[in-house]
Parts: sequence; structure tokens; C-alpha cells
Amino acid sequence: MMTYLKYEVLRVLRNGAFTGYTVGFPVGFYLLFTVVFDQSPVGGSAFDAYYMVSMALYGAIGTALTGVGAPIAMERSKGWTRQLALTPLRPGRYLLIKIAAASVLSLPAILAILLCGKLIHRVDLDLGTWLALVPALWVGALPFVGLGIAIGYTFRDESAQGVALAAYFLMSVAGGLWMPTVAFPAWLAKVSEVLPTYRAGELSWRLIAGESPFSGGALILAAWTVAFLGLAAWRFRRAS
Amino acid sequence: MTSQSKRPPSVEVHDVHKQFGTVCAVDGVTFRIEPGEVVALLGPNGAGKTTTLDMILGLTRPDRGEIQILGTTPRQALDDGQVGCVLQQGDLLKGLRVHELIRAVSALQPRPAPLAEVVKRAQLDDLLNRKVTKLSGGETQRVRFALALVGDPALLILDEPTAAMDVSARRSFWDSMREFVAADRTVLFSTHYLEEADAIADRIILLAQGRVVADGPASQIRAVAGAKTLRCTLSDAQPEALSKLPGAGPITVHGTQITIRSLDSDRTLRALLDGFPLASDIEVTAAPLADAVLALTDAGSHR
Repeated sequence: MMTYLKYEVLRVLRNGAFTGYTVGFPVGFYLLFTVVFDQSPVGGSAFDAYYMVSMALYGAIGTALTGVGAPIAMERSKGWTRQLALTPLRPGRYLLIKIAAASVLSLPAILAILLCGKLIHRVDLDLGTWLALVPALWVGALPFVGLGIAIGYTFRDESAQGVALAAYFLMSVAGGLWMPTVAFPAWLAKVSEVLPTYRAGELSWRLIAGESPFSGGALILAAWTVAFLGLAAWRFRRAS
Repeated sequence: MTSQSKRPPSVEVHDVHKQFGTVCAVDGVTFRIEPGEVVALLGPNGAGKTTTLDMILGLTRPDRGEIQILGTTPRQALDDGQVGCVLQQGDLLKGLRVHELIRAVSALQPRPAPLAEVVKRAQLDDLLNRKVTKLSGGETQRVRFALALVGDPALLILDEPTAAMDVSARRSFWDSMREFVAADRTVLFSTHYLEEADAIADRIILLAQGRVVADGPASQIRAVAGAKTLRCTLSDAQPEALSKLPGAGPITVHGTQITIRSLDSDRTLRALLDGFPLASDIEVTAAPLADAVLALTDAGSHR
């Protein structure tokens, strides 16, 4: 299973579009909004640090939705999942491989952005916080692995990629990953508060502000996680 | 129990039915395949071959009937790595090279076969570093054959394995298959070529319209399914008289053009020459499999 995971990761990494979407875009956004524009602090954190975790999460979510989830539609239509059904690999394990692949594959984006923050903007956090950011970002991206798998098992080929991208952009913008929700009109800020993107970001935003990552908002994120993973399991069972 | 105790049948299919909407794809199929047999599932397109194989592999659930593989359920046999299969269609996982793909799938097996052996059997030595997206149809099929072998299976199931191959690829594919079979393994493959079934299999199960219409040694099935078409020119032909010719099946008369379908063309031809000396331009050709099956089912129902 580890060997299969290794090749699964390798083959996604070889896809140039994947690296562009999940590493190139977030790094580009980060540099654009932190180097070119001068921004005021958000919620007690310097904008450089705040936006660093926003974009790292943005990259990790992109990995889950467009790098791992939606391409499942391709595997299905090309008959690869049928081929896998004839191996001893159990469906639950297949899903675990996809989740593990999403975690591993989100590392390049997460590390690239954290490095940009550290090296370019001298973002100053203690070691424990740096180390806690990676699992916090992974946990934040987990519901989107579920959503991605559900999309991959519901739509076909290009339409799966389209739906995944639409969900990705809409939820990222509305959840305050592209710009902090303090800049939002009141009604939109209200909408953000129930979105998994905002609640996923909250874990890391609280970390860099020196607070415990878990607040009432973490329950909302947990609910989304259960809901999306449940949706994935349901779509998966329907398809197989 | 001794080590000589009887092994369970490799495949046991009992009164299996499958309907898709209003189409009855498989209508009460029963057969049993013993270890070491090489069996062809022969039939024209739409005979129910793929549906039957899909049910044997547990990919499709039968509406009715029972299937056992190696004495257990299809799922259990697959989990044990006992069954290898080459499906009719399906792309390989892109983004990988051939050896990477084989390693990835091999790692899922409980008792993987040595990589070198798989590579040798599937004749992949010169393709190992090729990207899977850069393979020809025949090469892709060899890789898929390799993927079927990675679990060191006792039973190999192939759904029209040579459909995408040219003649030479077809020949080398069956050559490597014979080697596999020599190691006392069971093979069940579907095809719509009688010659292929006859050349490779010990036994042929002939399917038509979702039913087994014949099942027996390859030579016997060739004799019954190997219908020939006799054509000749004959004026004043009387179909009733022609139909009395030995071995003659359905007869069509088109002006002076006579077409006789026969299950024993030699006898039919001799009798034709004796009884109808005016027959000319005689031509004997192998009937397409679909016609042969038709002749066979007709002959069966008229008897």
C-alpha cells in the first residue's frame, strides 16, 4: 500500500499543471499581496504572517480538490478503478491512499509558502508554532479531500475538474483566504463564518496569534469534515 | 485428507441470469472449469461473454444463480491474489513508466510474483522505462497482461485479450500464454474468433443470446460451429430438393444464385455434385461465427 502511495504521489507531482495550481499560484498571490502592497495587521498578527497561513491553506485545499479529488473522475472513466477493483486493494484503503496522498502532496505548497514568509518577510514565530502549523493546515484541508473525492465520484472528467475549481475559488474567496474577512461587508463576513475554508484558516490564524488553535469554530470545521467525508463515502459506494 | 485430495473447480457457474433493463444479457448459464483447463468462451458480439466474465470477477452481480471461484467467492479469490484478469478496455494510470506501474500494482498483492518473471512472461524487457502513455495498442495489452500476472494467479481470465492487436502481436501474445498454461494454470478467455478459440483452448463454451449452445472439446465445437457456406449457380433450383442434401442447413435462392449453409460441407458438396450435375461456379467459404451459431441453433431446434 505504501508503494502504491509512493507512485500515486510521484505521478501527480509529474503533472506540471498540478504544481502550477497548488504551488505557483499561492506563492504568486502571497508575494503579490505582501511585497507589492502594504497591508495593515489582521487580528493582532502581522499581515505577512496572516496571509502566509492563508495562502498555505489555499495551496493545501487546491491539492485536495484539484490534485487528488477531481482526477478520480478520470481514473473512473478510463477504467482504472475497474482494474483496481480486481486487485486485493479494498475500497476503504483506496480512500486512505487518496487522503494520505493529499497530505503528502500538499507539503510542497505549505513548505514553499512558509519558507517565503520566513525568508522574505522574516515572519517571526517560535519553533513550536512553526511545527504546529503543518498539522493544523493538514487538518484544515481534510474536509476538502472528502469533497474532492465526492466530486470525483459524482462528475465526469473535465466537468469534475470544473466543479472542483469552482468550489475551490468560491469557498476560498468567501472564506477569507484571498483577503481577510475584516475587509468584507457585514453580510459576507457572516457567510464566511459558516464556511469550512474560514474555519480551517481559523486554526492556523489562531496559532500564529499565539492562541490555542481550537475554539468554537473548530466544531464547525469538524462538522464539515464529517459531512464531506460522509458525502465522499456515499458517492463512492454509489459508484462502485 | 491427502495432498492428492481433489481441488475445487477453478470456476463454477450455476444457472446465472443477468438482465439490463429489458435486455436479457445472460439467460441461465451453467458451466464448470477444472484446474488446468484452457477454456474459450466463444460467441458473436452481444452473446453475453463480457457480462458472464464480469459476473465471474464479481464486477457485476448476477440477478440469479451462483458463482464460485476456486471454491470461494470471486471477491475472496481476488483478495487472495488467485485470479489475474485482463479486461477488454481501460487505460493505464498515466504519469507513470511501465515498471513503476507494475511495481505499484504488484505491491497490492499478498504473494507477488517476482518482477523479473512477470516481465519475462509479458515480454516487457524493452518497454520497462517507457511512459504508459507512449505505448501502442499491442504494447498496452502486454502491460495489462503483466498486471494480471503480478499476483502469481492460479486462474487467468481474459476478456477478448487480442481485440486491439495486429496479427503478429496476436501470435506472440498467445505464445506467451501457452507458456503460462504449461505451468498447470487455468485460463478462461473470451473471443469471437473460432480459429483463435480452436488454436488455444482445449475446450470451447459457445454462447449465443445469453445461453450456452454448445460446450465441449475444441475439435468437437469446431466441427459443429465451423459451418461453411456453399455458393453455386443453378437454374431451376428447387429449394425443397436442395434442403434434403446431407448436412444442409438454411438455403437461400436468389435467381440462379444458391447459397447453402452446411455443417458438413464435404458431404453436402459431394451430394450436390451427384444430384445436381448442372451446378456450376461452386464456392465453399467459412461462414462468419454469427452465421455458424445461427446454423447451430437452427439445426438444434429442427432436430
